[in-house]
Amino acid sequence: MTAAPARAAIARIPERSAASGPLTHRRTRRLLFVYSALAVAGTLLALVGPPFWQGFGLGMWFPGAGFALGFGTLGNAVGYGAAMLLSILLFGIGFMSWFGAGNIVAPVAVWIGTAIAAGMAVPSEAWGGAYLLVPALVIGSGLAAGHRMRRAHAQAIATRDRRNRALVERSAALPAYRPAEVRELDTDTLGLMRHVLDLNLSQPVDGFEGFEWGDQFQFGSLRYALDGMGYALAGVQYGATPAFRGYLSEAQRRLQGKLLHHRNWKYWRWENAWGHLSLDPNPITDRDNVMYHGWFMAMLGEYMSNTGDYSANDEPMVLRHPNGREWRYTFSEVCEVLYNSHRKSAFTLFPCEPNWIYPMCNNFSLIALKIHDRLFGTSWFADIADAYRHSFNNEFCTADGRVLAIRSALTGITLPMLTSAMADSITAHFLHGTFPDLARRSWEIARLDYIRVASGELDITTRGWDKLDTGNYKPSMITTYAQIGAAAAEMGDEEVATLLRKRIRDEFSWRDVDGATRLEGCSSQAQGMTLYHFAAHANLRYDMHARGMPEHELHGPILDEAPYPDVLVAYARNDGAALDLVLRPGRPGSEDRRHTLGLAQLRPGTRYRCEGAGEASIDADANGNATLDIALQGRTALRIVPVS
Amino acid sequence: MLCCASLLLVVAWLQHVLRRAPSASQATAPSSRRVAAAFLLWGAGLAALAYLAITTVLVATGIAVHVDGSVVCLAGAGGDILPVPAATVADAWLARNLALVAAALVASLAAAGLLLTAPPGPIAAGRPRLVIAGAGAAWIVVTTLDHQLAGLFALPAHPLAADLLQHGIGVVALVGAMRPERRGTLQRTGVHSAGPRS
Repeated sequence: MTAAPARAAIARIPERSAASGPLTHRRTRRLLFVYSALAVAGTLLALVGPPFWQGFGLGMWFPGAGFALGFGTLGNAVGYGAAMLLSILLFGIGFMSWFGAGNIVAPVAVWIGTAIAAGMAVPSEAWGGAYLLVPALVIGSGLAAGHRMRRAHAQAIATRDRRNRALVERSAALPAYRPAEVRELDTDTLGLMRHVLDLNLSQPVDGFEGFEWGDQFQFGSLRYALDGMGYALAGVQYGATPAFRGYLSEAQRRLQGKLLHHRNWKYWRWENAWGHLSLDPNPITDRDNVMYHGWFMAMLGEYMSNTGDYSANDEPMVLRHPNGREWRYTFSEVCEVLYNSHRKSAFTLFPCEPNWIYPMCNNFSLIALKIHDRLFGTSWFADIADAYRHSFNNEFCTADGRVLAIRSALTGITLPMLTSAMADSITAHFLHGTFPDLARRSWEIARLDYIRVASGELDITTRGWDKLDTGNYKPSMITTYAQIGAAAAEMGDEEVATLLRKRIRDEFSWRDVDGATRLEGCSSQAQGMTLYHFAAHANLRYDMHARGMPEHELHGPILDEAPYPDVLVAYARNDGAALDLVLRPGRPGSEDRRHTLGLAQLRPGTRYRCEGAGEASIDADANGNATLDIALQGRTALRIVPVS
Repeated sequence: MLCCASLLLVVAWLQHVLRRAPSASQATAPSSRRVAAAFLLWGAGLAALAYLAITTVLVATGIAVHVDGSVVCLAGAGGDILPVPAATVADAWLARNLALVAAALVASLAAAGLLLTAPPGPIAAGRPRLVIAGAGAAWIVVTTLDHQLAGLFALPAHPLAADLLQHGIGVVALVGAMRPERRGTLQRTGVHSAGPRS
């Protein structure tokens, strides 16, 4: 465990004169150059070529532009206008396919295809006005967009200055750093945890019954639900039950096994095919796909750091393709791939889908590297930290300090509708352990302008995907509530975290089945996030990533076995010698029955006094193990103390 | 005959959809029904637009020829397609094109209106399927009506195959959209309490 920091700090929003960073600017300029060259070449082709090349050449201005040659008569204009509109719609679908699944072939194919169609459909009397109309439409739209961007940038500079002043004030008011507490789970949280545990413990690793997801490409993918559940359970382990392994560790190992299942990485064969024109299905690549192994290694790193179980580094994990091919990697080997990917990328951050960089996903890769450095003595995070910070600030933040959700590595373009309060909060939460000052800035900006509390009421300014359950794409506020709530708890903003827990209690239908709580209509991804929101508290993720599990918790006495689901562990910690537990019945019928607990890492051959249990004392065997029979009656607190 | 069969398929499908729609007593039914109808209409609007664009390109490229309106569905199988100059049918062609644009516009506006006025509530999954289903159904209706009422173009090469293909696109889309869901949104039927002891 590393030393505690002196005080939290808030990074200022960097001052830059341009709307985007230098690398993004170069990419955008390159895109404009390529586009201009195509448009000029197309126009020349149209002016000197036969009819087919007139339609094709004009079609280089924008998808379907060549159909403008048919606008000569009203009768033709209707049909040709429809063809132009359809071309634009198809290009939009192609673009979404590029954004959603890295399919760069689709928009290019649609553009060329519609240009060919326009070339074939040039009427015998082509309309000469098309040569004025099409450039006028493009240049006019470009000028209008440029004007709008200049106005927005001037506004962003003013906003940046206002926010920087506020950040200085808030910096001075921040409390001194306090380590995360170990806090007992309440019954709501235990019910939510039962559902997540049931999904993982009641079926084999290759079983997925009960999981609900949207697709296997975008943010509704099953892999994010599995990762999210892993982060939630790791948070519970670190923040409430550091001295418990048992079914809590078993569920995390099963999540790791599920992520290795072909179902969760087979998408990569397609994305690699249409994004890179490569048929290699191996998802561990040093070029992109951080959305798979970045997230996965963060989850695995948290588990290893919390439990001291390094089996994923002692024995390689196996990615097994149905065609018999296998790829074997240890945790360290995958982290090295991540490290090399960051080093190779001009942006330092590297893509998820081919060519699309999401800072959010890269933040998970950073977590993996940070934990790896701490556990195995590398300096991978430290090596890239400065470059990452510089790129993050300059290429992935707006001029007024908000974090962009996405940027195209190829073209420099972004999708502004994904920059939102929910995205700000995810950044704040999962960047806290790696770049705490950037995380704090992201949170404080959100609190300044998008998440406000007045008279005990919470007001969230939502945008774009904020109103979706990102796990199944259904309209719902659950993702936003859970993500903002978890970030608020991490940042020590208990007021917002508590108000959002209340909203989730009030606005969603809680269904209890045999002690397990499910939120009706919510995805598995949302279930995992909500569990963590309810379990989270200040600096938990920061400590887990930056400092790690205290040595005494790792090596002192632990609860190693508890019958599931009869015995729920709400609290388990040790001070290196004594073990404190709070247990609750997991379902109706678990009370007033005797249950056997397995203890481990006791001092070999030592007698322990059992306070609050049926047995007065137990003796540890030569391996430091012992069993203890207890009767559960509601909240049951136990203390296992060595008799000196 | 084929046109009638196609229309009967659409009618049967609509009955199927209406029977499966949630009952009015269910809390989420008004929202679900409106949103589902909106996506169906969006598909219908897209189909009308695509049909207009494709026929324009087919005629412009010479793959299709203008005829005088006397050619009905499958009549070309006998080889009696007589092309006429475009000017002969210019007014009728314009009216037919405007009718298709109007259909696309009305369907799109209705879809937008339904979405904007739908009460908040969960939306059923499978929206792309609804769009495809709406497009398929509209394609069948539009191609059939266009053939029977306007009859302003024909595909002289392999006319029978062309007719079958022309209507068949809609049938394939509709049947494809009606296939059972294969994607994984497995719902838990019950919670197993017998987990591992660990």
